[in-house]
Amino acid sequence: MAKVKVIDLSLCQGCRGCQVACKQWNQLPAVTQEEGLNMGSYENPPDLSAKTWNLVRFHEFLNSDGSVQFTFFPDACRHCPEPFCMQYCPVEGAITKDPDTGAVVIHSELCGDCCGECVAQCPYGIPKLETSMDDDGAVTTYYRAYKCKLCNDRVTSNVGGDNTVAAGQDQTALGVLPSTAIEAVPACAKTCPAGAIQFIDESLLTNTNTYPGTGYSAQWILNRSAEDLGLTPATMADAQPKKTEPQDRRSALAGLLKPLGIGMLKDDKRKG
Amino acid sequence: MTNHWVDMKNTDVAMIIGSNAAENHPMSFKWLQEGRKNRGTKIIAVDPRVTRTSAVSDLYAPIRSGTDIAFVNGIINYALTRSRYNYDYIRYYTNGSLLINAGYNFDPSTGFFSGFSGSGTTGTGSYDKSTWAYQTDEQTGADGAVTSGSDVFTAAGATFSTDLIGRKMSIISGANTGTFTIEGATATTLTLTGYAPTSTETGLDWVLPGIPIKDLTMSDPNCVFNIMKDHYSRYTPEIVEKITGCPADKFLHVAELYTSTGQSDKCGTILYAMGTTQHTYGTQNVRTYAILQLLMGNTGLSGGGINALRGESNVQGSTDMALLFHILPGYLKTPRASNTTLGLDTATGNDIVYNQDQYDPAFMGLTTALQDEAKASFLWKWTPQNNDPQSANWWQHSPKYMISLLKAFYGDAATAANDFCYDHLGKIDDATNYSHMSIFDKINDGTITGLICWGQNPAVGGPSAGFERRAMAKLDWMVCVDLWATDTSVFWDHAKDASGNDVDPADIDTEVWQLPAAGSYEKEGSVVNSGRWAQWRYKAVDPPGEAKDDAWIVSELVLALQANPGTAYPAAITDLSWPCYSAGDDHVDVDQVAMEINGEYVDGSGPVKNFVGLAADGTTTSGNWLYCGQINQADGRNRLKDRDNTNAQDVSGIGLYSEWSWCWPINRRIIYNRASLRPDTQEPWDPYRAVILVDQDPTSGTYKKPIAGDIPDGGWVTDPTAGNAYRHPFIMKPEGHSRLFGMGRADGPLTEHYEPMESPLSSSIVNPREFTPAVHIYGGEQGEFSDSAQYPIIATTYRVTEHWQAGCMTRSIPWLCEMMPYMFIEMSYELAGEKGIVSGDEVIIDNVRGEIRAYAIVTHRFKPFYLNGSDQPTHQIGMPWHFGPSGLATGDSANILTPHVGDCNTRIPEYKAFLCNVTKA
Repeated sequence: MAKVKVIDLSLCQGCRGCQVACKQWNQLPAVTQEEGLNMGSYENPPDLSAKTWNLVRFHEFLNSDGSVQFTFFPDACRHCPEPFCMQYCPVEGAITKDPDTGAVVIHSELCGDCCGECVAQCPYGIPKLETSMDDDGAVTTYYRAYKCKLCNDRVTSNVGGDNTVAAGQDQTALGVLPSTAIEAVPACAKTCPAGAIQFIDESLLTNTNTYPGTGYSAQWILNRSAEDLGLTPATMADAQPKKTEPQDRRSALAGLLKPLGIGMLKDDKRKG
Repeated sequence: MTNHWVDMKNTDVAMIIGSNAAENHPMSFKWLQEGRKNRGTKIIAVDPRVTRTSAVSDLYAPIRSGTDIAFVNGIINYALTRSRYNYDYIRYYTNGSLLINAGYNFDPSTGFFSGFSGSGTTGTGSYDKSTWAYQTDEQTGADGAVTSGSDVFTAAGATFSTDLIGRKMSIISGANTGTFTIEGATATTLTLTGYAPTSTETGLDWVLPGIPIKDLTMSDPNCVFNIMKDHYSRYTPEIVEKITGCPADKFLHVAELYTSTGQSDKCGTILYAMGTTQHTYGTQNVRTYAILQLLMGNTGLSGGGINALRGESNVQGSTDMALLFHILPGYLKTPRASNTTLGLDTATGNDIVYNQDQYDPAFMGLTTALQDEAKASFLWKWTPQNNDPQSANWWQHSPKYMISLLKAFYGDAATAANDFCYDHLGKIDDATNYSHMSIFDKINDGTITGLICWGQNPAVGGPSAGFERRAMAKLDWMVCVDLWATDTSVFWDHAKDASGNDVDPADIDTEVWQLPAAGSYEKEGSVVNSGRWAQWRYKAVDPPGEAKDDAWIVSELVLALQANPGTAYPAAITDLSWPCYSAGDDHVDVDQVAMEINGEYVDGSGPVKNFVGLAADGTTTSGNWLYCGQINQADGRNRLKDRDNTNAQDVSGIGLYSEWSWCWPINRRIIYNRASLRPDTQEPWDPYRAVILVDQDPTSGTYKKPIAGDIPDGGWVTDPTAGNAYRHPFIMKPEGHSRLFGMGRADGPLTEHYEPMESPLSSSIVNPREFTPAVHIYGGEQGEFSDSAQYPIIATTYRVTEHWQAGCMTRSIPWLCEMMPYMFIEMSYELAGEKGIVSGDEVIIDNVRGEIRAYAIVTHRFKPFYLNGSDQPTHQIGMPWHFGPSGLATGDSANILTPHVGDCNTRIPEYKAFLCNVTKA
């Protein structure tokens, strides 16, 4: 049975436990002050990158009655059922989808001198190319893409599986997640104190078509009615796909993407 | 906490005030969300700004920092004027129905409770609390009569009744003196148990020791409930708005929702943290929550209680083990200088064996000097007396706990003949405070010349950190025990003088030693969480390099001192029993420490079962009576290691998990749980959230007693009409009733709003005071405060999820530093507009104590307050206090700006409300 990661955004309290757990499990280096961090926002690092695969985005919104909403969105790969990145990746086997866990995995070591097609195709802006910065602050981009692997290594090896609950016990009363065929869960789900991030059987999804017509990935977001959640428009925008159709850009990109090409975008964010 | 983390899922309404629980205690929301899902729990967030907690709450109310009392007093007034409270709970279980001395009053025209020594709107002083007392039914007479051989006592003109049965009666003159239990009574006669005078006598002096007078109809004008109605009537929604800045309609939403838990089958919880306590009236802030919870009938119940979210994983444990100067382990009192002896044998006048009955003929036969000495002795002074047979008065047992503690401290050296080495304990001066700020005051004036900073970083975490850093330079030596070099251990590397100029490290003579310590996962032992659960934690990895665990370090220190105990008082050190570590050991035997804390029989017959088994005669030891029972007597098992989550003792699914770890006292998961039963039927207030169940007591045949569920606060029968088989539920108070009226506090028995020391207002609005009258103001620069004309902006400090306390751990971890990399302040768009500041700008924040720099986060989550009816905004900013000069994420310390003044009772520093100015850098 395929699994899906669902996030109930009404439960997310923005603690960023998932963000740091992701770094820890995947042993990703921290972004340093020199590499560029926000000074007027809680949201740090400024964006997803080859070394930041899960990033909690913060938004606030002033309602017309003067009340303020403060909402959070743990942004990471949605692990689409029919991922555009995988469809359009030109290297056989560089992007795979695990039918058991649902994980869409970029095998970055296979990217080689490649194209960045996955970056261009992703409706959510998730995969990022590896970059480096020299002492003068100049950025070099390499054609190896990175993103969340849904901790597929952890999950398939059953690391951190919740074995403390004996068979036959009332798991709901104990406050643990619903029983799953694979007991291990991604690090983000394991660490989430509010139970906002869950890793469940696809069959347990109750709301698989939040965005009619897309046919993919929407269920990842909420597993609840979007309207119920009282999210700020900006957080809804974070959660939604930026496009619903893939683009065949291979010919256009071929001329654009050279090893000296894309610099790392530095958003000048001014968000609470 | 009276309750525990899991129990939050059982609440109907959670009010989070003085806490940013979602941010600093994320786990709390695991259980609150469970409650939301399963029972529709509503969450109220009260805070100066919209926080991560407010973001996931149902209702948010803004209040200016330092105005919790006005806000909650307003809720209390709302409840009292609309009868939204639990009437039976109040009159049976609280002191609402008890009568107070007619001399007590509060004068709103001065802001003083009765008995204040000072005057004016800015004078300070202290209270004579003699009128903050119960009226009692004590009777005395000089015309008692007895007949030889009879057990009947008569006294013309006296009014006795059968209510006196079970009480004590003393005959203090004549040939047949003594204290006797009353077993029968008429209007004029008392039948005394075991009394058979050998002569017939008249004109006897006699005393019937009193108990508080109770008016179950709560109609007497001097009963606490009516005193409260009067006191709190001033806190109308309009006044609440004027003081707190919370719009009255928003306040009323909160008041209506929270007081819905006054219905007997509803229950609300209050979660608080340092936003509550770190004020000059922090204790009173907690008091006002407690009073509200008692009016609602929420304490002792599942889903209720007063729940302090502790700021460190083991801060509950460290408090239990007497981290603070005024207590010994288990909240026993630290001896005062006036407590010259442990106790006095009233029969012989010799030391030891205490006797608190001042009408005991043996005591009355002593000379006045010996009587005075007896009353000043430790055990008499700190053991509360009670004459009500229906009150358990649990602290009456403290002599057993104290003497068992001395036996644990000093082992075989402690004997009855030497007062169990009582003299070895350091005595504190009666009226002197020894807490954090007082220590730095004494470092500053040269009294204290050496300092051990053990897991503490006052250069960042101390109030008026600039003052405290300068004081450190006056030390001869300092030892820092920590995982990293802290901002404190390298204070000399970033020192500044009072004018803010750099100081050359070569000019600082303080010798600093750094001892590398092991982290939580590099050592074995117990950690006690906010819910009092003591959980065993095993060592996962060895500490790096030369780092050692704290127990090893302190043991080596003790052994070194024992080898060279000096000449001042060597016995206090050499007599110390230290069985769990020997020189050269790799580590302390922590299982043996657990046994020592639990307590054993001195004759070698094993662990004591629980504190009921402790004795005052030197036959038992116990390092902390509250933890007596953590070792299972039957099999010697350390129950802190228990991990059975079958929840078998839970009678209604409230999540007790009694076999998962162990909690004090005696594994009682919800304390004061006898109050979870209705006084009339003794059924749970809400049968679906039963904490304990009762059934017919086979002994009495009539009354009920606890039979299942959580460990009850005593197994006595639960029917208040059961006479002396019954005990009131609040067993830790001498009168057995929880205190709406709290006579023990230094600054008032009821809660009254006063402004912070630094305030934009010139009076407290409900009274003319500028600040709380009983505050202590230190001398010199510590007594200088920021003026609101020059510094009109209110500031507060807080924590963020990503950093930990003074930051020496988290500011060394790259993954955390990247999430919160810089010192910042948060401010409203309105203030930013006035000052020409946008998000990301560097700003200067200053006040009378100094200035700091930070980056600005301009946010809708802060809004200006409109105070005292003014149409002019009063601005507030907020800032994290984690940053300092060391580590990877560096920045100025917010505490450079916080004042060196503290709570009237505890002296916890005022970190949460002070004044400043903000300018663009």
